Amino acid sequence: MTALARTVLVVALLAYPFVDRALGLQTVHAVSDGMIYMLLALGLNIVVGYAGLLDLGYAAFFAIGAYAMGLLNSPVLGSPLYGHAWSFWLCIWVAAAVSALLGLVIGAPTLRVRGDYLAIITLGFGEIIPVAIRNLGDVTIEIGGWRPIERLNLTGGENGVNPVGRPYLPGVPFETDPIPWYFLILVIGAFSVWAMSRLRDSRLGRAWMAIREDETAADCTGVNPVSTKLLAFALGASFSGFAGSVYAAKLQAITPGAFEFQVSIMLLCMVVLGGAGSIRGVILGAMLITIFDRVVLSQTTFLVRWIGRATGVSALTAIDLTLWRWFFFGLGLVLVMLLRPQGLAGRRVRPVATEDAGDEPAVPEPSAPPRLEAVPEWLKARAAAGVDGSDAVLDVQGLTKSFGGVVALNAVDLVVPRGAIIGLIGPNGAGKTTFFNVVTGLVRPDAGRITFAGRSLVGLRPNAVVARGIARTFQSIRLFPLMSVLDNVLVGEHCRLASTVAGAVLRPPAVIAEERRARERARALLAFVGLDGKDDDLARNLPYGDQRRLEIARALATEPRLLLLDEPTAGMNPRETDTLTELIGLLRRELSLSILLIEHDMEVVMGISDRISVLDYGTRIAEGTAAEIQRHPRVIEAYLGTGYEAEAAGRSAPR
Amino acid sequence: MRVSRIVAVATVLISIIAAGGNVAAQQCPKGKLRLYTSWPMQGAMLPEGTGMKNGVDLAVSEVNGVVAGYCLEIVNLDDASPQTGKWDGAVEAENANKAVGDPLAIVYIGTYNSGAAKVSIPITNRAHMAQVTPANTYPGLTKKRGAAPGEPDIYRPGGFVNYFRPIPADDIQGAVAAKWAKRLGAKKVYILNDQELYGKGIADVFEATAKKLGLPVVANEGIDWKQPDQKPVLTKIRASGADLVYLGGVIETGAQVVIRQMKEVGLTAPRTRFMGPDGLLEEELLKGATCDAALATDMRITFAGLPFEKMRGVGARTYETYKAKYGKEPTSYALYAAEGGRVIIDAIKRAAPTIEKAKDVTEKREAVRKAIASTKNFEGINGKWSFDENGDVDYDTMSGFKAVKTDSPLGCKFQFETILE
Amino acid sequence: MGGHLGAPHMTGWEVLVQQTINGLTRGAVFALIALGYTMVYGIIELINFAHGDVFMLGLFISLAWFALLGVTGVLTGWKLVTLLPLVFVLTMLTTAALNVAIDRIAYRPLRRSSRLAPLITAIGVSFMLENVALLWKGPAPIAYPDIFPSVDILREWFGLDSAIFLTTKDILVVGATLPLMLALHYFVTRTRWGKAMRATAQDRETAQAMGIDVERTILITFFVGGALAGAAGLIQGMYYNIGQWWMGYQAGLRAFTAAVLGGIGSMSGAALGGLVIGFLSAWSDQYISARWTNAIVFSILIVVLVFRPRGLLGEASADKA
Repeated sequence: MTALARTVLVVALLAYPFVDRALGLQTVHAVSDGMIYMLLALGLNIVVGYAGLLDLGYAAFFAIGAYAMGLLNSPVLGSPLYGHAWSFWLCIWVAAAVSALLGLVIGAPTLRVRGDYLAIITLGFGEIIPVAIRNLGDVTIEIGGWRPIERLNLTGGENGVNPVGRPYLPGVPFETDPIPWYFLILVIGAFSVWAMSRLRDSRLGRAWMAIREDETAADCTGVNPVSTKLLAFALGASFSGFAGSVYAAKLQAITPGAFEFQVSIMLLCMVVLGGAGSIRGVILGAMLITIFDRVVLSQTTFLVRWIGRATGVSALTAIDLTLWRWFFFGLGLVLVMLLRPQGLAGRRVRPVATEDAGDEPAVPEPSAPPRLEAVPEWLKARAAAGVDGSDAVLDVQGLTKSFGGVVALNAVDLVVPRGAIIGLIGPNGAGKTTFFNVVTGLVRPDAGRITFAGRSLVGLRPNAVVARGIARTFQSIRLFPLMSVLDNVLVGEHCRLASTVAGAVLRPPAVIAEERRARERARALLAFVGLDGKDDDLARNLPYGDQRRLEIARALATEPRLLLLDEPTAGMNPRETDTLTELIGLLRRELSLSILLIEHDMEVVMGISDRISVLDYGTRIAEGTAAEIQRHPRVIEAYLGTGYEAEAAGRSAPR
Repeated sequence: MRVSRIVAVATVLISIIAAGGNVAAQQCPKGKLRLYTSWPMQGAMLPEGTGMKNGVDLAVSEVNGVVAGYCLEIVNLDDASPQTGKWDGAVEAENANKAVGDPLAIVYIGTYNSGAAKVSIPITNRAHMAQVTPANTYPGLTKKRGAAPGEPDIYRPGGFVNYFRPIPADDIQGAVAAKWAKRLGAKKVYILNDQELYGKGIADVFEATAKKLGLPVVANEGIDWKQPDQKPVLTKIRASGADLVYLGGVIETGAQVVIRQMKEVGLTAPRTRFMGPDGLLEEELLKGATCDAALATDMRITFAGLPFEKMRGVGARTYETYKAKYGKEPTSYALYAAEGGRVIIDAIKRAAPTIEKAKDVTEKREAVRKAIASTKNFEGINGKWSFDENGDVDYDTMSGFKAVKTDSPLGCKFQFETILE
Repeated sequence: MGGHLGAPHMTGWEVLVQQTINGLTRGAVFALIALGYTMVYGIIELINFAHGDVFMLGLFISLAWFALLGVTGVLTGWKLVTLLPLVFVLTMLTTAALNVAIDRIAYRPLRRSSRLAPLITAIGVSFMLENVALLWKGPAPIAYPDIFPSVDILREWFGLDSAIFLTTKDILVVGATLPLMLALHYFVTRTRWGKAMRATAQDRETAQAMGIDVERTILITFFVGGALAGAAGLIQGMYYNIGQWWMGYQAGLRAFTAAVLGGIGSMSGAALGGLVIGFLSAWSDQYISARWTNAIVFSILIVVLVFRPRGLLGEASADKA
């Protein structure tokens, strides 16, 4: 937005209520109420838009915020906080905290649950809360014939809470004038928008987006999905705490009927229509829906009736379009999802790139080769330091895992010495990727020991394994497709950064410095793998070979000591394969990284590995140097085939 | 940004058009006075909302829209929410503020739902504007009996009464129902309520009165009216041996199901009978619950005021006039809306000299408010009455109805049985 | 007033039997609806939010068919035996077609999207259907006429004066549900299309590789699920004699809980879950309080989804992501 547009907007916002009063339009009340819902939609945006968690029961947080303010700031239950000049100003923060707490309570059970189940769970909570509010207005507990609690009133029940104390500022007429309310909501709204955009462009914001794009990949890149999701719920809920408080104080009488399912869906419509993840989009969506609701439907009804009268079509004269409201909202949801799922203001998503390279409109620029001189120094130091004594970086013994009746890993032993490149080969389904999954913590082993740098890894979550110093790539590349190249790498740095929520919002110098340093390091990594200049490209738009390199850059950003590469050259042409092989060699030479490599390209693995382990049906059938493996009878039988030696000999002749 | 700009301009234009839309100009010697009405005017409430609107129109048309030289204008507002289609506190607050902010507005006629009145009364009270309701029956709005703590004072921030209702409150109806139940020989009562403000309120009053009268109450239980099946709780009632079921609710909140299923689990007379409040006094209920079940349970309903056929004088005339003018039976509260309108007109007549001398709109409203408060010996549809110091009517005539068999296509109807005190 | 008020109260055993009848009839309808949820979820992993509303429309549509055939009161004799099954079939065909149309228009274009996009669409469809019902029949509760003759079996056939009430309507519910479930079982295990459904549910790619027309199979799934929902709506109308435009949401949530509890994707699970939720809700109404029953049912839903997502009879799914 240009500076001029911004100034005009600010002036319009500030002048509007006075203009309204001068013109006698009396819309300030309605607009203020609409702004409360807009604020709620922005809170929902954190949960749905940023973190990608579909919350169908957001009205529950609205209810808690309103009731927290209502119960604390009202004489109904004899609250000591009622009646002071500072009552409202204190209670609004308490209400936000209570809402955040409820966010944690509702978020906790949903942590490991997949997306659609999470939606239903939030829906369940959204139904339970109004029921509880209604019923807790009249609690009677009877045990046998004894009634310890009789007709206890905790929430006012259907009667609601009434009156609720209003804010007090000397000289400001909150009691009688709508204008102070407008400005109060405007200030809260502006603060919220500011805080939200700060959060979005922070370490936490990137973590949310990573989880939204691919939770498993995020987990394996060092982002703790548990705490990240909880923060999304808690922070998203806290904004509704503010909105609910203002609603309760403004209305002075709250009843449970205002917090039902339709409200949650209305808010979801605002977010989805406007564009989940975009603050501007949500504001636009909220405006459109409110206007549609209050103005368009009724005015169009007049129009249609007038047409009916004019043309004599009696069916039209009886129409009341306000009864079609939910039909249009439902239709809106369907159309948005079908035609423009990113909403009105969301980032335009180009259609999924097909495998056919011929569809790409522009010829991708050939990527630069990795730059030797651009070796990131800090990585070098990190990889070299801190390995206590032993030569073995990774020591796996007797690793066993079964799925149902299928034995995926059968007492596998494997050692990765310091600074070594170890190859892991075997037929499809031999258990190689399962091995990676167990080591990185995605899957729990049934038996066996996994020791890394002297400490056990068994039972750790993937993000904890990353923090210890193991990074991995995936067989089918798992980037965060809608995030930029730079952001992908920055997510890798997540586990090495320390900025907290408060730091994200307030941005003290320490956090600014940390972010700057993080960006410098990310760019250095990109240069190192040969992707400099592509910072702002979307990850999904990169050509295949570049995507693989980006994945490696992201893995390097976690400052690992051990790198697990799962079929890094899959799908690559010979030129790309050579480039990648060179990079792998660089990683070991210059950065002292230890590398465990799954590969099907025998030339690569035989050429680069110090030692190779061979898996077949979950069992390690051989271990040794490349030469030993090539001659090993069991390996030949299971995997290589008898013609391999001759072929290999023929191929290794210079081209 | 372009889209939002278009939207912003459109909003402004539409607002201006809408704001200017409704007002029709009239030439009046002393000026205009506006009456604002606020109740739900959509969805399930549309028939009743229209009925009440007609009632107010009727009252105003009787004086040809002119009182003491002032032209009367009615502005009808809808307090239902865009989100839920039911009454909404925020919308009600907007309506009340709109009325208060209108320099021509003199009285606020509303609401239908007692919960909405809780929101608007403090607002109108602060502006010294009288609020007259055709339908609120929750006692706490005007008196202490049957009220939550703090009521009714929280509705009088200005320290004076501005809220008036020409209809007896539920504390009377609930008490009268309990007395009637005892008179009918009930020995054990099981109370159900729909957990809404009206239903639970009146059920609670019934319970309190029954206990005072020594009539044993097994329980006062809330039902989930959204479910189509109440048999489990009715089976529980059957097992308890209660011989009267009292349901606090309205026709929309599951009464049909309760009555029909009472028959299906054997809760019929003479073992068990049914009684309910005037929220159930609609023919729709008989249709839904079936005459079989209604007759089998000896269904009885209390009603605030007199039934149409028992009305004499003013009441009968109003009933006939309404039917003639609008071509259908008045809805439950339409005549009370007319009554309210007449009270207001009468008050304006009496306050006219003070209004003329008033310096600003607040003084005008205060004059009308005082005049309404001092309404004495008013010829109403239920007889002569006056407002008491709380803004309540001082009569407590209630009627009791019973479902009886008839030859109509439906097969049964509600028939007046007795006056209740 | 006279009359004997000394009639026997119910003994504990009688209460139990009556509650069992109550729970069974509730559970049967839930089971029918739950089957539709579970079939669709099993094959395309979509929580069909609009399914409850198809059930509601089944009730409305059956009313329309009855009206079209001139039925307004109790049916007896040969009319009962011919018209009732006819309306069953007509209603089921209509709702089946509706369900298929919804899939074609709203869900199919999103087959390859994330799991959340079609869920949001389903919510949109649900609201559209509810609004259509609201406009069609109005907001007030709709009285469904007594079509099936309700005869008190114990009293009139056996001459027993018992506190238990077992009517022919109760028999109807079970009598209509059981054959439908058996027919479904036969369809799924014996017919070609049923086997295609199970194969596609287990592994879509392999099924396709084996020559199964996956889209056709999905269509059939929606067809059958919609038919069951329509039957459930008709049964509900005839049994409870009441319908309202929002009833699909309430019933849908309870039936979905039943499907999840039984094991989403498992048909016997849906049937079992339906019965369990039917009984649980009846017992909760009786022994706790009806005003808490919804909260209890939804708590069950949350607990199952969090701690045992595969429910009672479902299979543990391999990869969650």
